Order: sequence, then structure tokens, then C-alpha cells
Amino acid sequence: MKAGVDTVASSPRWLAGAAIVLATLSPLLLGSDYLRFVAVLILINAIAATGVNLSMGYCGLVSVGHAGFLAIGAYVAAFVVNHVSGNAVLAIFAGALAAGLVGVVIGLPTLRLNPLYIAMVTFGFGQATNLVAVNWIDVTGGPNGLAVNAPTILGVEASNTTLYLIAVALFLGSLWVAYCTGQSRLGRAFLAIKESEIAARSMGITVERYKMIAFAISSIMGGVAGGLYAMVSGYVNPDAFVFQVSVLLVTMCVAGGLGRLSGPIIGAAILTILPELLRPFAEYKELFSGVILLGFLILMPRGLASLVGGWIAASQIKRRAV
Amino acid sequence: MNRDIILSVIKVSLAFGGNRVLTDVSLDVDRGQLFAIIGPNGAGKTSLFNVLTRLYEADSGEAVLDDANLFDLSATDLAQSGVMRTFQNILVLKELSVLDNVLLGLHTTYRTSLVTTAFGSVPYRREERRRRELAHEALKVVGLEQLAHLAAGSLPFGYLRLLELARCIASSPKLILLDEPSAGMTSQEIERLTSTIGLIRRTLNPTILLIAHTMKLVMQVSDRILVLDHGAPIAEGTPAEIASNQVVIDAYLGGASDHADA
Repeated sequence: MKAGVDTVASSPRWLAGAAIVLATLSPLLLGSDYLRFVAVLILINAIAATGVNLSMGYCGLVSVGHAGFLAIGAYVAAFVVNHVSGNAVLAIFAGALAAGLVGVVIGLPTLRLNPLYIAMVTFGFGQATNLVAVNWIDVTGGPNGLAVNAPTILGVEASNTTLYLIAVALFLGSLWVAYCTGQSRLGRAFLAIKESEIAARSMGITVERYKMIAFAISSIMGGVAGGLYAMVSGYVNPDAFVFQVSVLLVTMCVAGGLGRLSGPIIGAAILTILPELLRPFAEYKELFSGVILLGFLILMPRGLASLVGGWIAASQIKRRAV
Repeated sequence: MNRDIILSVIKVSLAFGGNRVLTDVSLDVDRGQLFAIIGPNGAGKTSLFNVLTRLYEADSGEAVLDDANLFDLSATDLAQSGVMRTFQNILVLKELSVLDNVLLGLHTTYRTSLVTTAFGSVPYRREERRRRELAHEALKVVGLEQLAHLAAGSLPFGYLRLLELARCIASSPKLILLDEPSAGMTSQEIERLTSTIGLIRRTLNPTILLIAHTMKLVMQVSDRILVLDHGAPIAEGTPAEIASNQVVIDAYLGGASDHADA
């Protein structure tokens, strides 16, 4: 009954559920360019927030610079499409790989520090990445941004429907990896490290190594989200990867439920749709996300998923007891 | 005499600043033995455990585990070398299920690679299933198998100690360090713990180092007892010898042979 049990004991029904919902909604979403774009934005945010959730929610590594990994994924993917190969999937993978490599390079010296310093370093990383995007004009197009050529799949220009399907596939793939990770010795090790490094060490968990793994998976997912964004929007500029985006990703995790598979997805859906509904008040966007973050931290620190999660856990216990 | 010594501690000393915590502590533990360490609060029992599990660095002295120099190993290496411990202040993950907590104790026994694990490959799933069986068996030994799927945080205090014990034995370690497993337990729970320790010894036959304040438990399960006072050993012997040792009686047992202060 206690919340949190489903972090590890939840079943792939989540995955099946997400697939069914997406399949049912697809005709509707594909019927309107606007709805499709919002849906893809939700998927992109859900992938990125799932990454943040793995490092922060499971392993306790607070990252307030995750937009930096999205930026790297986006610019690398854009570069690949414009200059190397038009293949959308290849471009996204290149972006993810680059983000993962940078994640490892940042993580190696940082993850030995205490959590507060990790937050500071990730903040600095996010800011630095943004400054590079603004000033490395030859590659990034600077503040004006960069137009991304129409990506292809198997030599054919990728239609909006194709890109939507790629987004769905990458989202389900990320969800699958997050699920397997959370359920395996990886997820248990992450959670043990978050709770007590001493206990983790006495279980034989190589703490530094597992922190590195959590951070790497997290940055790879950030890169995937960024690359996908570049492919879908056809345009990349530094404004898409500012500090507020990093905070928004953390807010998604907190609002949905940190350390839960479904948390970042619920959070991403709500915090992507809400600003769309509140477009007339767009200048208060940051205020909204700040208030939501604070509100959830104070009133519902386990997030919205805890409402559903508690119910699922209870039903599981009941079923096993029968 | 042909003893099979698994752990040999030789003149280990530890100080925090000017505060001497351990002074020339030596002990030899035979394989399969249950070796208890007793003494009043602040005698250095837990500090000795922390030195032996590499959480503290000894100032001087040696420790030999089988043929390896224990002080060459890190805290993380120990689980791999078959040394597991419980904690006085109970370190279980309250958010995780009881079963998952036990699976943590099996962490070092996994062989599939982390990449195949993250992608949920078939070999990993097979391995995970086998580990779950092992975890269930460990829970059965301590009598918590019915509660395997509850959140650990929902268990009463005494059960948490049993859960730590299950996590400790799941990987069939050769050396187990139990730090006050009976603290905070009711007398009924202590009886259960006593029989559980007996069951573990019969089925897994590990070597056990035990810290406990509950004299009834110590006298009943121990093969050998070391008494520490202010970080220094003052007596060692069988339960019967310790119970009749005048120094020990004067200092700790206060004349009562069945003094249970936990």
C-alpha cells in the first residue's frame, strides 16, 4: 500500500498501456498538425524527464542542467542531417551518443562530490552549453539558430507521420529501458545509493560506477530528446535549451512523482499541455512552473503518480494474497 | 592444535583525535564459529565492526581474512569476498519491497552485463528469476516470506532486523557480522531471532560475528565471547567461562547472569 512499491514491482502493463493509449489517439493526433506537434512535444519531454528521473529520482543526483544534454543532442543531430547523412534515426543516435559521451566526461570528476555540488556543476554545465550554442556561430548559427534540413528515412523524406512514429518508438524504447533499469539490480543499486551510500557499499555496489551509469543513461535520454526535437521542429536555437527548460524537466519529475516510472510521463503530459492551454498568459510561464514545483514539493512530494501508484500497489498485494 | 581460522585480527587500534576507541584488539575466529563481542555502550564494538568492514581505517594492526589482508580490500570489495553485515541503525530501503531489499544483498552475484540488463534481455530475465528464488529462500529462513511484496517501510521494527538478516544471508556469505540484531526487540522476537540464528548456522554454516547486549541471546548461541571495555579486550572464553569470570561479572553483568537490557 505504501507508495513507492511500484517503482520496482510495476509490470510492463505500463508499457502496453502507453502503447495502447498512443495507438488509440494516433488518428486524432495525426489529423491535426497542431495536435500532432503537441503530442510529439509531450513525447520529447517525457523522454528527457524519464532521463532526469533515472539520475535524480532513482540515484539522487540532482541535475539542473539537463537542457545542456538536449542542446548537444539537438545540435549534433542537426549537424548530421545538414552535413553528413539525412537519415533522421542516424542523426538522433549521433546526438544521443554525443550527449552520453559529454555526460560521462562531466560525470567523471563531478559525481564524487556531494549532491549540492553536483547540482552546481550541472547548472554550470547547462549555462556553458547554452553560451557555446549562442557564440559558436559557425556551427550553431548563434542566437539566430539553425535551420535543419528535412530528414529522410531510407532515402525518402520523412513525413510528419513518420516522424511522429519515430517519436512514439523512441518514447516506448526509453520507457522500456527505464522500466528494465528500474526493475533490475541497476535500479535497486541507484535507489540504495540515494538512501545510504554506506549500505550500498556493504552490499558490494560500486557507488561511483553506478552513479556514472545513472548519469550516462540520463544524458543519453536527454540527447535522444534533443535530437528528436531538432528533427521534428526543423529549427534549433539556443532559446530552446535555457535554464528554465532544465527546471521544467525537474518539475515534471516532481509533479508526476520522482523515482517512479510513470511520474515523468504524467508530469511531461501535464506540463506540456498546460502552457498550451494558457498561451494567452505566456509571459507568466515561468511563474506557473515555479508555483507548480513548489506546490508539489510542499503538498504532494510523491507526485501525482503516487495516487495511481498506491492504488496499483494495493491491488497487486490483494492479487498476490489471493 | 590444528585450527581453521577464517578471521584473524591482530592488535588493531583506532583513535578519533585524542579519543582512543580501540586499543590492541586481537581475536581469532574459527570457521563456522559464532563469535560474540560484548561490552557496555561505547566499548568500541561497533567501531571494531566498522574497522573490519572497512568503513573506518585502523590506525595500526592487521586483519587477515582467509589468506587475504583484509585491510587491502575496500568496503565494496567485501561483499564480493563473502563478507556481509547488518547495521545497528538498520539500513533497509523503506520504499522498496521486502523482496527487493533482499535482492540488494545478492547484488554481487549477478553475471549478466549491465547493457543487457538495461535492455531487459532474456539471459538477464532468467538470472533475475533465479535471484528472486534465492531471495525468497532467504526470506523463508527468517520467516518473512509471506511479506515479500510489502513495502519494507510498512514492517514493524523487529521484522526490519529480520529483513536485514535475510539480506545478509541471501548470498550465502562465509562471514556474517551482526551488529545488535536483537536491539529493540521484544522478548518474543528475541526468541525467534535465537532460533533463526540457529537455523542459519545449521543450513548455511557461515562464520558469525555477533554484537549483542541481550545476554540471554549471547549465552545461548555463542561458541566464544570476547569482552571489550573502553576499547580494550578484558576477557575471552566460552559462554560458561565468561559467565563465571569475576572481572566480567563485576564490570558488566552486575552479578546477574541473565541481565537483558535491550
